[in-house]
Amino acid sequence: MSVERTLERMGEAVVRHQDGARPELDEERGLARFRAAVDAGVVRPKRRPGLMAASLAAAALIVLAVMSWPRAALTFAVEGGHEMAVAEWLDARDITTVRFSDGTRISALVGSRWRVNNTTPVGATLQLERGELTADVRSRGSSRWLVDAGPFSIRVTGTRFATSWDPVGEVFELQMHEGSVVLAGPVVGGQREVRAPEHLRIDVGTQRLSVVSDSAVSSETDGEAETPSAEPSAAAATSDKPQPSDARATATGSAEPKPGTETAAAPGSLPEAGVPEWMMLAQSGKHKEALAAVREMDAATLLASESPAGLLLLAQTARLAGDHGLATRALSSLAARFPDSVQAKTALFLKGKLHFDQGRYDQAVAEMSRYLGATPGGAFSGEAQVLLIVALHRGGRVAEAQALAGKYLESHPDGPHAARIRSIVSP
Amino acid sequence: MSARSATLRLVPGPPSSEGGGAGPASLSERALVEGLKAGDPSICDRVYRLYAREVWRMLYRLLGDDPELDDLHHEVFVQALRSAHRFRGDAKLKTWLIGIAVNCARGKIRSRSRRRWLRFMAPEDLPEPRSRTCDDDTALTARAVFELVARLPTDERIAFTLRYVEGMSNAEVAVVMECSPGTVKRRLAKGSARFFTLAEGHPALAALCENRRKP
Repeated sequence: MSVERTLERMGEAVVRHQDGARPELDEERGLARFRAAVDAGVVRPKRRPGLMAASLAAAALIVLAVMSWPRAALTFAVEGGHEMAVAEWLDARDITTVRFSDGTRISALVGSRWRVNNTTPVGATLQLERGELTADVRSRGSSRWLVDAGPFSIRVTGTRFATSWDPVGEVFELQMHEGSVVLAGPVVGGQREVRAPEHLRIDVGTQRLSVVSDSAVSSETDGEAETPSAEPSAAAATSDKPQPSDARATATGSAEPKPGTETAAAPGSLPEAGVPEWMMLAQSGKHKEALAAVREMDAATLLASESPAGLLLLAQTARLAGDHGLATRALSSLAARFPDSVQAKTALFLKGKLHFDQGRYDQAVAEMSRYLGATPGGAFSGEAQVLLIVALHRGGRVAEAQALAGKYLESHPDGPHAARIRSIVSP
Repeated sequence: MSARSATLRLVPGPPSSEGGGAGPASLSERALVEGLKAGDPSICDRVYRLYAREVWRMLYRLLGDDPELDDLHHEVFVQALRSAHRFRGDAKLKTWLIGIAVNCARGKIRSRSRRRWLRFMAPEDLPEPRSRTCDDDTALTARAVFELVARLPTDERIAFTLRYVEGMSNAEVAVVMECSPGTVKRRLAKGSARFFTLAEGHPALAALCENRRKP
């Protein structure tokens, strides 16, 4: 069979599957919405300008063309000659610096994995999957840079900062050297302005946010979001002490997001298209809003009727929103109702993570071991090995931890977690 | 029966007088475009009624089960109204609208990295819609293909989907993606090579990949 024919056959399978799975378009609702946009004058068709208007416009364009930045998207190159394309992952073997055509420089530390998702004339979107990036972004009034680090999003307008994301420990750090950025993500709440020389540390597992200001005052907030105009240190000083995870989920309200920015969808306002609202909110990264939608439903019925994938999504959403109790119940329901499913195996890892986050190291060891036994090459086996070693160590089973750590380092001497594991082998 | 017969492929085949294909706009289509430019509500309604399902199908083809599909669908028609003045009639109205849909999908794919919760979950663990029209094996293959195609760079992914899933010719893909046929050919070559590299290790696709080498 030729290559073309093979690809066409695969394409046909996709068509057959999609045509059966595709939700129906609600044509009447879509038309009503389009009509409303036209009637409201939101969309104004362009009209042919008069000759005078056209001449003035042309003259203005010439002036702008002379004075403005180049309209082509930024280009970039790795120092040292390694080729890198948009959307291509870069695994930094040592410190790798990428220079953009506007003068911005991004450096990645060893073990980091990141990529340039897209470029525009005024910036780029970067994605950090793990490790640390140091950014020196050239500031222009129209600069638009975005850095996604794990579940966190940093909107940059021109500044210097360093950010890191540890997918195993689920710890995010942001250290500002100059200027400010706007940060969004779990625990943060809505959006938060972070200014130099703030150093922010967020532990997603324990839902803790720590701020270190230039006066070396360190404070902890418990997922309490702040409005961008508030002074970070003042807000931190008035925060509540951390609460147990279940109570925290209800005690910590999510602050109203900044006006004009991403807002939570009101229940019922999202198109249904056959997918529950909580699921759509979860898939959009709106974990707290998704949890609020779940709480309006009968949780017991949901746990008893949801699919394996839905239960896994529910567990993950609840965990990220700080409701460890619901996360545990969802995972237990998944294991009981669908013990042989692939999702049930992933649930072992998530259960172990939940135990680990709450300091129950013996239970974490048990679940991680079960996960590795059930899925030796699973998607999270790397993370599971590391968490297993750390949980053994913290639980006082030092000899076992050191033995496993030694084996791990033989296979991953330069991996992103090698330094952490080495500290266990040689304290 | 040919595997590419109309009974299997639910997409209209040859171009009709209402659209499809890359040929120039018909007289009736030019009238529709004039109505769009003028913001005539009854014409806007008519254009929506004629092409809404096609645009919906294309967006789903490129993006799968996206919770923001409705919003993106609306955006396509808003963009069509805003840019009607640029329509020159050298392609069919449907092709032009599909081109706008592809551009909107491209922007969505590029911004999709903001689904950060995906970092915690393997792709095979994501909730999947159930298909009404195919068996489990086909669904498995289809999901595997879609998952791998989604990992391609954006333009390669779009070209690959339009050519091998939607069944467009290289020329049609070039019109919709607003690039040259040579660029399409390069994107397809790179995309296919990357796809097969990913697919060879995938249990659901390894057999199909192996068969392609047999004479």
